[in-house]
Parts: sequence; structure tokens; C-alpha cells
Amino acid sequence: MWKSWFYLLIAVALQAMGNIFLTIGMVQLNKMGVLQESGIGCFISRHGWTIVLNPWLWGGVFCLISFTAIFSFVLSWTDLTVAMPIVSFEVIVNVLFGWVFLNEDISFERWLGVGLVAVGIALVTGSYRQSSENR
Amino acid sequence: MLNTIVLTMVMVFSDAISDVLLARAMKKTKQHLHYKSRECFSVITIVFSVSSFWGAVLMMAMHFISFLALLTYVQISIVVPLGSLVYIISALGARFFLSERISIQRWIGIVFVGLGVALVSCS
Repeated sequence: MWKSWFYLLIAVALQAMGNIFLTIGMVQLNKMGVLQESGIGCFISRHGWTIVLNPWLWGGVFCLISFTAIFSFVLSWTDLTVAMPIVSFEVIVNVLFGWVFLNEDISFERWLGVGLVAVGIALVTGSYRQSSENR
Repeated sequence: MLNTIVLTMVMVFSDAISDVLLARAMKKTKQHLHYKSRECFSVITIVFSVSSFWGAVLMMAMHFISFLALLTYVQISIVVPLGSLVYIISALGARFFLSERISIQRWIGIVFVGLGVALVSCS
């Protein structure tokens, strides 16, 4: 079980980093006015290289591909119904990150959601431990 | 309205099917690895030769396209919580197509995670 948790936590960190990198890349492109073009053809022909050479976008894509690879690797020995809920740990990390580092106001519904996800993950992990002991 | 319902169904089901197919592809790869060498290159070759893997890739693409299409006229605060239905549908897929044994405790956990993700993303 700990082996699955170890790899899935790395996958979750990569997914979070990938989303952040992609957001930074897209915000940069938006600031440069790249995304204000009308028509996808015009947009690509004028700014294709700006998009292709953006390191944040490449970083984001690399992180998300690595996430998929590690998640697939874990699925070769763990049940899908265990791996998927554990990956949703990202939701908890995102909310805590926003609360601690960005001083975001977190509503009661959000805390309730975080609590439900945490309890859900604990239940799923517990059920996997029981089923692997019974095998 | 009908378009929204159809696209939402396509988004949720393609995501769930891609997860089930990916899990099936990886389990098949593991079976093949018992007979072949465990070098990284041969692992990748085996994964790419399993048809379920390409089905999963196709379904991921379909999920992404339907998600983007929905975002063009439905708010993200509605689309993302609806997407959390994937936890339940994937679990049903895993139960019937991958023959995973899911205890009541795990079902309750999966429902809690789905509800929690929906609450966080819509609030």
C-alpha cells in the first residue's frame, strides 16, 4: 500500500506543478496579446514560435505526461478504485496551498469538501488494506 | 439543454472509460512482463502494442474535447462538479469490466471523494 501511496503522491505533485506551469504559460501568452487574435489559423501563423518556445508550457506538458505515466505504472498493481480516489488528494493540497501561501479565504463549503475527500481517501485506503490482508 | 446533457454524458463517460481501459492495458502489460524482459524499452513496446491503451488515449482525447466544448457555453463551476461523477462511473466500470472486488467501505469512500471534489470545485 505504501508503495502505491509513494508513487501516487509523486504523481499528484507532478499534476499540481503541471497545472501551475500551464497557467503561468497561458497568462504570459495572454499578457503578450497572443490570445487576442481572431481565428486559430491567424493565431498560429503569427505566434506559433512564441507558443512553441514558451518554457512554462513545455514544463506543464512534461509534468502532465509524467503524471499519466506514473499513474499508469501504479495501475499495473493497484486497483483502479484505490488509485483514483488517492489522486484526488490534489484537491486537498490545492486548497491548503491557497490558504497557507496565498492567504485565500476558504468558504465553509470548501472546508467541508476537503473533509469529505480526506475521509473518503482514508476509507478507501483502509478497505484496500483489509482486502489485501484477506487475499 | 439537450446538447449540454449529451456533452456532459460524453465528457463523464469518456473519462471513466479511458480510466478503465488504461487500467486494463497496464494489467495486461504486467502479465506480458512475466514472460519477457523488464527493460524500460520493452515495457514501453508492450504498452504500445496493447489495444486497450490506444482506446484509452482516444477516450482521453474525446474527454478533453467535450470538456472544452462544454466550457464554451457552460460555467466551469458547473462543469467541474459534474465531472466528479467519474469517480462513481469508473468504480462501476472497474467492478464489471475489471472484476475488482469493491467493499461497502470502499464504495462509501468513493462517494465521499466524489461529493468532496464536487463541493470544493463549485464553492
